[in-house]
Amino acid sequence: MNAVEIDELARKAAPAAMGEVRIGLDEFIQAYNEGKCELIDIRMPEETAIWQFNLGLRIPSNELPERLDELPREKLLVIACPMSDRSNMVRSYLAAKGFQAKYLSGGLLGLADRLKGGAAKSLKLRQ
Amino acid sequence: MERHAFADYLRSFDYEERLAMKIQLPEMFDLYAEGKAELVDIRFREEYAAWNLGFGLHIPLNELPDRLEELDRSKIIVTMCPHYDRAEIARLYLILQGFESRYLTDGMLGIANALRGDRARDYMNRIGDRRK
Repeated sequence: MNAVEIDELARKAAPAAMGEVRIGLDEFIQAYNEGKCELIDIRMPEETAIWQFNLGLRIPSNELPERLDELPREKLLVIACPMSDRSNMVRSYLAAKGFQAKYLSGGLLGLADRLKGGAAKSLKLRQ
Repeated sequence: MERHAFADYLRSFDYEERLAMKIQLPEMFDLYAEGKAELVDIRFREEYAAWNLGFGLHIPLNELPDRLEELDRSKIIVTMCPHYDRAEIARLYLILQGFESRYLTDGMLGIANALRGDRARDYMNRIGDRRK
């Protein structure tokens, strides 16, 4: 990424623009069900082996620069890690690369909590 | 007969049993790695379809009465759900069926939270071929 893109990202890091940076759990579930976004789990392979979401793509953050061609360009990319530190970082990288990307606010831990019991049915899994 | 067993269990419930019915993450991680405990995710199928752990068994709570033969009676059966309410029900049922069972107080969300980053790597290495 070049310096100009990073400068532009920094200028946008104002409170009013944070809606462009992150997406909440319910908003994500709705967009996913409507086919408007894809979940990108950027955790390490050992992490996705120990507990995994059965949706979206699994691309470890350190492999992402070489695997950009696997990302859909026509959809919003929702970047996720357990909380939101790594996902926020990766979201910045992808935004600088010209992708439409937000990080999942609440993280995968929040999503797992959100999808407990009957609430799991609110997610329409694609096969 | 089961009602009688349940009543007897309640009559015998004391401070010791109040502690014995529970298990926390560090001990669970050890017992599972040593092959002394089996983990059972008792969530509904829709919940499992959304996300699951890479180790342990999955038997929905409402299928448990008909699937007891899948459980190893020589092991401590650790029941788990996102938090611990349903796991406690499952544990009580298993106790009344003669199993040694404890419920995971930290829940599956506790496991997911505990096994982040390098801790995920270290535990997967520790359990080796016991992973799914």
